[in-house]
Amino acid sequence: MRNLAAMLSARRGRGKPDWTDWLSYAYLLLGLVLMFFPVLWLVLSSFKSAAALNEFPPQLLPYGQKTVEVAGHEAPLPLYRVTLPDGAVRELAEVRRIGIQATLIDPAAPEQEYKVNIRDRKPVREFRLALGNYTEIFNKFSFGTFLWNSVFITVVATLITLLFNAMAAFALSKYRFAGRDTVFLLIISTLMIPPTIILVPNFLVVSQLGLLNSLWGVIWPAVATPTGVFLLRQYMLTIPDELIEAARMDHASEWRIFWRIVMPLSAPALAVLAIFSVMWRWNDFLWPLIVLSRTEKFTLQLALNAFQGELTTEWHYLLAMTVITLVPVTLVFAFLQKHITTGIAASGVK
Amino acid sequence: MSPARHPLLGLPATAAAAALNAIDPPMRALQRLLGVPRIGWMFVAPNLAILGLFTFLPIVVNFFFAVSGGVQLYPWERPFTGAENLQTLFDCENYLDPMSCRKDLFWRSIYNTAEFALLQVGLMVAFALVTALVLNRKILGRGFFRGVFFYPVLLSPVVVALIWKWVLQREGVLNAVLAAAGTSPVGWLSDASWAFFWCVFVSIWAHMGFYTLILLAGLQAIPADLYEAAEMDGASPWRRFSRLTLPLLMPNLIVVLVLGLIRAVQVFDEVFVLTGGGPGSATTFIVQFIYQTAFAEAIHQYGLAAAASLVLAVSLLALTLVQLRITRRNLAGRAGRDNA
Amino acid sequence: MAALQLKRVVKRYGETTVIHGVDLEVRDGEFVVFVGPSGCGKSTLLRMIAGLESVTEGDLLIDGKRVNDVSAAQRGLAMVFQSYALYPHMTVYQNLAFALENLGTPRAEIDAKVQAAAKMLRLDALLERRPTQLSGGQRQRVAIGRAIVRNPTIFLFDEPLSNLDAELRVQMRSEITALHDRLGTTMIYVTHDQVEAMTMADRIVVLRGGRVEQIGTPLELYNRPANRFVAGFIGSPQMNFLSGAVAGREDVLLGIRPEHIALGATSAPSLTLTATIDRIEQLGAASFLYCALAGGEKLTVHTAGQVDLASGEQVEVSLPVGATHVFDTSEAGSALPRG
Repeated sequence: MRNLAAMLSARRGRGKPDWTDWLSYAYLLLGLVLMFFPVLWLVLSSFKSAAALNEFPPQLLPYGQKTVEVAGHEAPLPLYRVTLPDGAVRELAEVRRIGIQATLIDPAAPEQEYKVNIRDRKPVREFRLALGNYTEIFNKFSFGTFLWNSVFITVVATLITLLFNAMAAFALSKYRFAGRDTVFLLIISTLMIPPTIILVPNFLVVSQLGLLNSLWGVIWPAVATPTGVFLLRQYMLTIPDELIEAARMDHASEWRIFWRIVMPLSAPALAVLAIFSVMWRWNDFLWPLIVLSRTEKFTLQLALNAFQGELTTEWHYLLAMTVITLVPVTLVFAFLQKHITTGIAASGVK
Repeated sequence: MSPARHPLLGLPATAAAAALNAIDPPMRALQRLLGVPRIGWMFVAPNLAILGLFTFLPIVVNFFFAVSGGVQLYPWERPFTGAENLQTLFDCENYLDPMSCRKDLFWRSIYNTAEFALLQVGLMVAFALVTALVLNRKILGRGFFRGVFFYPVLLSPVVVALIWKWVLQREGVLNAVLAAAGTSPVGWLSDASWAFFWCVFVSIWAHMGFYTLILLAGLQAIPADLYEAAEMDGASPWRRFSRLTLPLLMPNLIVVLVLGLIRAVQVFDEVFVLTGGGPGSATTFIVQFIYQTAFAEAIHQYGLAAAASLVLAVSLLALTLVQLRITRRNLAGRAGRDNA
Repeated sequence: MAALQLKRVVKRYGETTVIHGVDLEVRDGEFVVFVGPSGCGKSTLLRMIAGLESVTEGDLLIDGKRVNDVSAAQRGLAMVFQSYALYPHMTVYQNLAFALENLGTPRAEIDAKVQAAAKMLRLDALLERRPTQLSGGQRQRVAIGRAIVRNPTIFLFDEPLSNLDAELRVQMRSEITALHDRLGTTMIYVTHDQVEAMTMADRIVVLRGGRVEQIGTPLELYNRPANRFVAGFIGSPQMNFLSGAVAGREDVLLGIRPEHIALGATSAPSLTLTATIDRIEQLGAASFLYCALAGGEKLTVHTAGQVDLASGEQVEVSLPVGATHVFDTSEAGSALPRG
C-alpha cells in the first residue's frame, strides 16, 4: 500500500500530485463510464424480461417477481407485499385478480383469503436472469441460421484472405519480375477507392456471377484486401532471402517454399491479419445489405437491422441478439487488446 | 508436436497437407513453363483477379452507369444518356437551398454530410487530442485506459447503433436519469436537431479511440528532454504545449484530420441503423442517398446513383491527394530529422 | 553568478535511496565537476540542482536562499543536455531566442542577445538552419548558446561531450574552459570521464553510489586521494594496488601510480621488486609495461620514452616510498597516513 502511494505521488518525479493529475484521473474515469456503461447497460437489459423492460424508470439489475409454492395450488403463485386494511403489511400470494380487486392468501395459512385493491399491493422482486431471451431467439427467429451465416462468411473469408494476400505478398516481396512495382502500386491504390463508387457495378458483377443472395457473394469481393497485402509484404521482406535460396538448392518447388517455409515464418503477421479480417467480415454491413435480400441468408448484422425495424416492441429478444453479436469481438479485445493497440500505434497510420 | 498429430488440428492439418501435395505437381509444371522469376505472377494472380473483377472493372462500369439512363441493371439494356444524370443532380435554382433543386434529397444529403463531417471530425480530433495528452502522462493503468477508449472501435456499427438506440429510447436510461434529476424526458431520435446531434455523438464514441492511439504515438515520439529543456528555458505549461507539443504533433494531427474526414464523409452504417436517415431527411447522408436511389426505392435509378457516387469520389480523391502530399512532406521532414 | 550549497541532500524513489546525504558547496564563479562511474548519482544531483527532480530531504541553497520548492523555470539556471535537446522544428535563431521570448523580452533586446551569443560561439552563419542540418559540434554549440543567452546564475552541463568523437571532444573541452574564463559564471559540469574532470575543473566532486567520496582540486585528488576508490578512479592508467604490510599493520593495500615506478634502481628510498613483463605497449613518447610480480599480482609501469625490452623478460622496478599511498583493506579503503 505504501508502494502504491509512493508510485502515485511519483508524478514526473516532482513530489505530490497536483491538480492536473486529479483532473486527469477524473477525465479518465469519466471516459471509462462513458465507454463501458452503454455496453454494460445493453448486457444487463438483455437479461430482463419483456415486462421489466417496459418499466419506467428502469431498474439497474434484472429482476423478476418472486413466486411461492402453496399447498393446494398447482402452479407457483406470485408473491406480493400487501398493505391490509388494518394497516399491517404482509407478504401474500395472489390467487386471482378480477379487475381492480385481487385475491391473496397467506402461504402458511392458505385457507384465509384476503381481498385487496390492486393499488395496495407491490410485487416482491428478486434478482433473476431472463435466460429465455437467449434461448427463445433460436427457436422463434431461426437466430441459429444468422449466427451460422456470419460465422461461415467470417471464417471462410478470413481463410481465403490469408491465402490470397500471403501469395500476393510473397510474390511482391521475394520475386523480381517486370511490372512488379506497378502491381504493388495498383493494389495499394485501391485503398483510396471509396466503396460507394463501386456499389452499383459490383451488384451487377455479383448478379451476373449468380452470387446474389449467396454467402459467396459477400465473401469473394472482400478477400483481396490491400491492407493485408501491405502488412504481409512488410513482414515478408524481413525473411532472409537465403532461406528461400537454400530451399531452391534443395529442389523445393516455389509452391513448396511458399507453403512450408514462408507461411510458417509469417505466422505473427498472419495472426494480425486474421484478427483484422475477422473483425472486418463480422462487422460488414452495407455490402451484405445489398447482396443478401432473403432473410434466411442474413448475417447477424443484417438480422439485427431488420428486426429493429419490425420488432420495436420485442426489445428483449433484440438485446439478446445484439449481445451475442458483440461477444466474439469482445473476446478478441479482452485477450489481444495489448497487441492490437501497440500494433496500431507502432504503424502510425495504416 | 507436428500439426498432423495435434488432437484438434489433426484433421485440418492432414487435409491441408493433402491439398498441398495435390497442388504441387501442377505448380511444378507451371514453374517449369514460366521459370522462377515469372512465377511471381502466378502467386499474385488470385489477388489481382479478385481486385480486377470486383474493383477495377466496376470502376470502369460505374462510369457507364453514370452516363446511362433507364431502370435496367444490365448495361447493354441501358440507353446512353450522356451527362443527363449529372444534369439532373445539379438542376437547381439556388444551390444553397435544397428545396429549390430537382433532386432535393441529393442536396439535402450533401449539406447534411458536410455539416456532419466538419462537426464530427472537429470534435472527435479535439477529444482524441485531449485523451492522448492525458494518456501520455504517468498514469496508473495507462494500458488499461488506452484499451478502454479503443474498445468501441472494435464493435460493429450495427451493434453501436443499437446500444445507443436502447439508451436513447423514450423510456430508456438517459431519460430515466433526466427524470430523476427533475427534467422531463425527451424524444431524442424523433427530433431533427437532437437526432443529428446523436449521430455526431455516437460516431465520435465509436471511432475516437483509433485516432487517440495515433496521436498518442505521435506524442510519445517527442523526446522527454525537449520538455525539460523548455522548462529550463522558463516556458510555462501553456507555452510548452503551444510552442513545442502542438508544432511537433502537427503532422499526426493533419493525418488524423484527413483520415477522419474521409471516413466521416462516407458515414452510413451506424446512422442508418440509429435513425434510418430520419426524422424525415434530417440525418440522411450522401452514402444513404446513393444506396436508397439504387437499391431501396421502388424504381432503381442506377444511373443517378452512379453519377452521385462520382461526385462523392471526386471530393474524396481531393482529400486523399491532400493526405498523400502531407504524408510525403512529413516523411521527408522526418527523414531529415532522423539523419541527424 | 551565484554560490550553491547542498546540505544533507537526500533523494529517494519510493523505497530506494539514490543520493545518501550529500553536503557540498560551490563558490561563486567556480568550475566544479561532478565525476564518478555510471549510476553514481551525478546526473541526479545535477537535475535536482536544476529543479527537474525534487529534493526528498535536505536543503538546496542558491546564494543563500532555499530553492527546494522553486520550479525549474524560476531558478534562473541554464542546462546543457547530453542529447542537446534542441527544438527540431525551430531554427537556430529561434532555439536561442525561445527562453528570452518566454520572459517577454522585447524583440530588439532578444535580437541583440542572440547575435552576441551566436558570435561568441561562431554560430552567426548558421542562425537560419534547423538542428537537423547541423553537425554534432555545431549542435553542441547551439545548446551552449541557448544557455548563454539567458544569462543564468549557474551553468549546468550534463555530460555534454559524450556524443562527440575524440578529436571534437578535446576541442570542445578547451572551448568550454575558455567560455568559463570569459564569462566567469559558476559552472557545474557532470562527466564520467576523469580526464575531462582533471583538465577542466577548479574543484572536483567524486561520487560513488550516491555518496561523496572526496572533494578537492584536481591535484589534491591526484596527490592525496582520500580512499582506494578515488585513488583508482583518478589517473590513467589506474594506480597499482599491492597487498602488503607496513610497520604496525599486517594487512594493507599499497598504492603506487604507474608513472611513479622507476625501471632499475633509484636514489630515493624505494621498495625494489622483480617483475616479469607480460606485455609492452610503446607509444613512442611513453611506454606501458604490463607486468606480473612474484606473487602473481599485476603491476603496470608507465615510463617515458622507448624501451628495449621484450615480453617475458624480467626487470627490476623501484617503488619510491614517497610516492606510495597506503590504504586499509576494509570496504572503505581509507588512506592511512604515511609514516
